[in-house]
Amino acid sequence: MRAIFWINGWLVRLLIVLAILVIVAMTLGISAEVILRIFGFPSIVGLIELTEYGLFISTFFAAPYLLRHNEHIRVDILMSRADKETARVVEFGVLLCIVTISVITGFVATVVMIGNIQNNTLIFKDLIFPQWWLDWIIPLTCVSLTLQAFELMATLWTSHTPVSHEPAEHVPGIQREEMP
Amino acid sequence: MSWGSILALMFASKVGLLLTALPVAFVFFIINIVGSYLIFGGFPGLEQMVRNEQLSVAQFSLVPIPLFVLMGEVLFHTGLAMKSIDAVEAVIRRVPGRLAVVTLVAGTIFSAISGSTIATTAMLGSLLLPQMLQRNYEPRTAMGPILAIGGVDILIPPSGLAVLLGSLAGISISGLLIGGIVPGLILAALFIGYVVLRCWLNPALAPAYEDSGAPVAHPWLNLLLTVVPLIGVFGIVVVSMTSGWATPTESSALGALATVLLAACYGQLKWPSLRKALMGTAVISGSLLFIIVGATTFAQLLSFSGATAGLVAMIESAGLPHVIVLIGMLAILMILGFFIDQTSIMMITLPFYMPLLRTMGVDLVWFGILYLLCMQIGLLTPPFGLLLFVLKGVAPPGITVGQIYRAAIPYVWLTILMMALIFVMPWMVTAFVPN
Repeated sequence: MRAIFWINGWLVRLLIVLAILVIVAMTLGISAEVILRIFGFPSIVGLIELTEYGLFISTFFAAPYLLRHNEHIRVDILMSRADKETARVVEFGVLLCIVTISVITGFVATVVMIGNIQNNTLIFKDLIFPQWWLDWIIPLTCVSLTLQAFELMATLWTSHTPVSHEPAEHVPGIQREEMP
Repeated sequence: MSWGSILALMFASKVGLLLTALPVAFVFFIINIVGSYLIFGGFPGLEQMVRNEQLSVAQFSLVPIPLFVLMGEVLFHTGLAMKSIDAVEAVIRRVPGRLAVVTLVAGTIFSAISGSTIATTAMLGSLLLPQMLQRNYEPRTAMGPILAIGGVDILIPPSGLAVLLGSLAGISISGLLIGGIVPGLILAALFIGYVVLRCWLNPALAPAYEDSGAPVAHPWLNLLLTVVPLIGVFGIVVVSMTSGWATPTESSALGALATVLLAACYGQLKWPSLRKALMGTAVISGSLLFIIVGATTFAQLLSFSGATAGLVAMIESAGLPHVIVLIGMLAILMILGFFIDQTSIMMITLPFYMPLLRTMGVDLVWFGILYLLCMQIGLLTPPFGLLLFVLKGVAPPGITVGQIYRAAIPYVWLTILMMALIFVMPWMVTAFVPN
């Protein structure tokens, strides 16, 4: 199990790096499009469409990292005041919910993907390509989310430190040591 | 099951699950799974839910969110912000509550280049709050302007929340971004006036002090060289949008690229700072967009179950004057702001609000600006005022949450005053929006 968590840890890091690369590509691509247009060059075919898919990919690829570092937005007004044991039990339930959601969503998304592969479903816009080229993103994210939630559950089970709802980062997007 | 029962059940389960500290996005997912199975019709309903998740964020109009956040993160991590604060401080000298005024002026400048309210508040809080407390500023006088200016950031473009609102509500994004400039500037001026007046009446709130460092030789020239390029980036975003050269999404990309290039020109762009800015962008925008993934199906479930249409019809049939309905809608937004985050508020209210507003024939950009001001108040009000947490995160030990809450109160009232002004004088927004 430890090996699986270790591999997933690297998958989570790889996915966030890919999410960042997609954001950089979107910035450069859209800027290039405007500059080319201003100088009278034709538009880059399919750029808008690629950007849309890019946003979908970067959002899903960031999700496991957000879970790992407790960066998902959550309302902790009640749980931060609960006693330690209650908070632990509830947090365990929360992680179990995330596992359940990820397993169901991942299963349904895989069924949708297999159906699209079998039916040779195509996306017809500026670009034409098989639908499953996008369909694998959600199942992969769900696998990573499930493993990440299991790892957090295992950590919660074995450690006796109280549950913290504080994100890993001091302020969203900013680590403590990065403060001026 | 009637639409009323479905509505009550969905909201009760949402609130209940939120209170367990389940991440907001997953709260939506769990309701979606149950709702899609029961309302959309079994397994095909779940398949539809998965397809919705793909389509929900694959929208060109949402792309400015990460790009505007990137602008703020670059400004923060490269240290460009610190340079401009020093430049502003060098020219604002004999003013009551000098550092508080510097906070508001510098914050307004950052608002013009940062699309991340969190980054702006964190930046000003970590840089200026320790300085103000060290100079014996009364804590509430020191913290209030930092919290307040974070809210102004929502109105002055680039603004991630304005883009989100425009995209989700089908309101002109350019209209919202341009329409927010004048109210944003007036609000900043109101805040400055309030600070100066308070500190003039009671100098003990912000004792005057002598500069300890060497004086800047040409403070105005220094300001010009430091701040004008930042305003130039703002100009690129706004002018490209208003002139029709670029869509809001394209403007955001140009703005992000210009910010990175500006940091490079100042010799501030190092790999570690760029890496941190990019990581911060992925984290902040990812957490916002992942909520949209969940909330899209939630909104569809409300609509498909008849809850949206039912509620709108009920309000229409009540025959209330439009002014009362509008005030009621804004009041609901403010109340929701106490308990839930801004993205969730949008996802919950817009499916009901937009059909109603269109039926009433209200100017959507005007209402959008009022909506954003309510979101700003939500950022400042406990217990879920995000900026309060951000400031608590950067404040020195000893500053209590209670002090932070109280520091925000006068600025909440000033924002409500601004809303009242816009409500009775819609031209403050509409006169500047390009046709």
